[in-house]
Amino acid sequence: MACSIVVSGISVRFDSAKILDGVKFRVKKGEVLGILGPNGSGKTTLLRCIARSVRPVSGRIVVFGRPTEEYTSEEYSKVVSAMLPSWPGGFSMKAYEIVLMGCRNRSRGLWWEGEEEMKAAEEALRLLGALDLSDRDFDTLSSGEQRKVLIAKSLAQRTDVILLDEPTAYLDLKHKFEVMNLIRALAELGKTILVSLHELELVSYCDKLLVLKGGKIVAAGKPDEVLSEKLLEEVYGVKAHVRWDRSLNYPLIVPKVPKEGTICPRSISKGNFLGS
Amino acid sequence: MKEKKLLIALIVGLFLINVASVAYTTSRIHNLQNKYTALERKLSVMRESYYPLLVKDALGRVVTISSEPMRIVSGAPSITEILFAIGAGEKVVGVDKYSDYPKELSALKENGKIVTVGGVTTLEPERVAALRPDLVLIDASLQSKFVPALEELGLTVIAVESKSVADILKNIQLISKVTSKLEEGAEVIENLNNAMREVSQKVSPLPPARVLYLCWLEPMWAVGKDTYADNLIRIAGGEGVFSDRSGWFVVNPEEVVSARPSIIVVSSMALPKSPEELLSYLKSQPGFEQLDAIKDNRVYILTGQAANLLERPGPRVADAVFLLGCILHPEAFHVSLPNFISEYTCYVEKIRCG
Amino acid sequence: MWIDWKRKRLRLAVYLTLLSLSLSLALMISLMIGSYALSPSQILEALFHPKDPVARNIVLNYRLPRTLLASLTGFVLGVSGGVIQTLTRNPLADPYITGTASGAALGATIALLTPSLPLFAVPFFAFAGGLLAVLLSLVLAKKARAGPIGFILAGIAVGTFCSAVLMILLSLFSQQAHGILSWLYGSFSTSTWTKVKIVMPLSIPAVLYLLTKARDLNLLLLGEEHASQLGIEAGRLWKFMLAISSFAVSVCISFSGIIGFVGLVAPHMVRLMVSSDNRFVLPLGGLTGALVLLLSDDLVRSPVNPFGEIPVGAVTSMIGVPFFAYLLWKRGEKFGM
Repeated sequence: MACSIVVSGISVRFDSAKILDGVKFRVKKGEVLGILGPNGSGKTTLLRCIARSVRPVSGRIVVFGRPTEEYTSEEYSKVVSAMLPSWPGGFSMKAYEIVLMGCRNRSRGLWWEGEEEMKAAEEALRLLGALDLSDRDFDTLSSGEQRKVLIAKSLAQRTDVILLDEPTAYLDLKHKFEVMNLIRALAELGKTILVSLHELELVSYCDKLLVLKGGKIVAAGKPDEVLSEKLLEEVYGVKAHVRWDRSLNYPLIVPKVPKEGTICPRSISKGNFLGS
Repeated sequence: MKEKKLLIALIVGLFLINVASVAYTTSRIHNLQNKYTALERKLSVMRESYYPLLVKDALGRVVTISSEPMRIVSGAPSITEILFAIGAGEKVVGVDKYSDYPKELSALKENGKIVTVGGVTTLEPERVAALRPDLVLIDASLQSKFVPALEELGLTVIAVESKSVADILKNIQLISKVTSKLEEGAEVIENLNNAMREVSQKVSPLPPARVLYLCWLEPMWAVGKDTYADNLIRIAGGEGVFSDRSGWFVVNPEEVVSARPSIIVVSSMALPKSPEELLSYLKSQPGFEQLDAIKDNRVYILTGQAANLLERPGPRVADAVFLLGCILHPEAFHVSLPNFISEYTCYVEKIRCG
Repeated sequence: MWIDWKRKRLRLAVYLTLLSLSLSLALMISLMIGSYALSPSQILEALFHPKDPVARNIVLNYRLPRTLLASLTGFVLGVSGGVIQTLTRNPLADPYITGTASGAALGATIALLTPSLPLFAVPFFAFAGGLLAVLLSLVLAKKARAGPIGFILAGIAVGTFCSAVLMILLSLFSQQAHGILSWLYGSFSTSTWTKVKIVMPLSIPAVLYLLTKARDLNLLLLGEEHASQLGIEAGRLWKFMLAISSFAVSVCISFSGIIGFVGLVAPHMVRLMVSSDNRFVLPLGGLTGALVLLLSDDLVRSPVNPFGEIPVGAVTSMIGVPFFAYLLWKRGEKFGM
């Protein structure tokens, strides 16, 4: 039994809203878990729970056999790394300096980073194809480039568990696939990776899927089993054809053509303020 | 027969001379009485036409005093002292809370005859007005901001400047004029002038003593020219070590050491520390052990009334110059003073009597 | 990136050396400045082959402690300013934002006004006041759970309250107001070896500790959430750094009064001219602060100054502001987001 992460019935509350409600699942070592769900379904909050930024009001998370509360910050940083949004800006740092921050957990020096850390940072950037960005000021990078640097920072932490919140957002087609390939490669090396995704086609890179809606798990299992027309309609409110290409191991999702007049919401029509 | 007629003529003659002298004396007395009554009438007419009076105060304001002020409020201790010195003390109905001289003042404050109307910079116009005064005397530098409020309340206000010895004499003149105590005022002024002259004469043959006058410690505040303290020092035969600068300013130990004072006077009316504390502070300053003032133990810490003496420009300037003269030139006055002086009257008496 | 990294270490070494040399030079020059006229040879004489006891006394017992105190205070303010700006993630923060200054001012005033307390009790009361103010801000902020911004607000609240009480005291004791204010303005005119002997052993270890944590401060810039995930005890480190820097600042201002501007601007000078990396900002900011404050105090003490002992903070602002404005003008885009 090689379960890296066991999440048992966690619930999270912000003020009076229930963001996560009794979420429980297990992730095996070396597995890529894709987390799907519409906006506001709690994907980011779930990842933040595992990253220990948010404390669930009930339930437990056990990582490698130990509950998360028992780890010290230093220990945990060697086990779990996270790439979460809400990156505070406003100070000028170079891209490689940010990646180097990820190496802090194994740093031996007091003041300066060692060569070992530099090598790890370099490798992380290379894996992301962002080596040429290393000397640029972080604030001057595009959203996609910033994303890659932040993923590199997570990689530089050299942890066994990696949490990525929408890593493919802002990335162009080529880099989307590059990142997902990288994730698969890391999984082959034995790392456990949790990814939250919006692009449904990319679920083929995942070993398992977890679908959230309104803070609850509505589906879990293999991608080709979970993805269905019914799921799309229930969870996303989208009517679409869903076919799974067995040979390519790739889903095909085609939205059904809407009836006339339903593309344009009623409130915007010719003659109205925005429509005119 | 002839002798009898001569005797009768003699007696009648003597009698007539007596009657004539009595008549003459009576008429003379009568004359003088008339003159006296005429003079009295003139005097009362003069007294009645003494007021109204127009005076110009230190702020350049022209103030009309319509009749003799019977209820006077004083806004500052130096003014209070002048009022009492010229004998107008019974007319005083209100003083500031720092006024504490002469000694009768505390009793008067206690039995309510005199009411406290606030501090100097924190004068309370309402309290002043509540006393219905005919005249309010305030300090021009510190209390000019209250003039509009006091005038608004319909009060007659005169502002006086008390920065130098010359100011004191001017103020005594002005206040005695306004309260029609001209003779008393003139007498006070004469006494003051005599005292200052006496001190000057005693100290002028001697070389001026280099004195450092401090009015605050931590940091050290010294005085320059254009201050009352410096004025006094000059009259008492001294030279302020920083008199090339003007006003009040902070000095550091190095400047003091460069200035090489032979006497240090600390006047601590405001600083709420004990004289022993202040002396040990001075001794602990770097470089001060080298000063003549410290080595010869010519350090004088003045507290209480003695400090008031040197800081209040008022009619006690006579006592002040005597005390300071003795501090600066003990050899001229043959009285040795202790390092800590609070009650000074006994010393000043000794000094004046020689 | 390797080149940049190696160059970085070199740059820090170069700047450190440059600033340290400048500071040493400034210290030596400072010994020659003062109202008691001494030539450089007389000063060397006074230090090593004393002949004139007055000169020796002045140089050794007044100028030396004063220059040491001024540079040390400047260093502490520069480092603490950088630390507080990072901890609150606010470039407008200065070391007094936590209420230290107002608390210290209130403590000092109470000590000055209480007759039974000797004058040497003033710094201790100031120190106690400063620390109590910080403690109060921390407690308030904790209850509000509002993070760094909450802490700034709590500090402002506590500071304002202390200032209000101070103002009431000053108007009640209007006769002493002048003297008290002159203590508060900040000056080194009353420096003695006793003060140096107290300030040095307390503030130097504190500041050295802050310097060693420069690298982790960089991580705190990302916010507690990200910083904890990178392996440091962010919450604990934040409180510790705040406590230690407030402590060091309180120690210094308790003896020399409240000197503004240095703590706010010295770190920014480094950020604008060199780098935002705290490994640069803290040590170089400290040295810059020391240099600026020392030179300002020299100006105050110098015979060419016609005004005498004016508050050194005023001089610091007067020379610092134009230079800082120039920097802002030339490189201000670094601040734009």
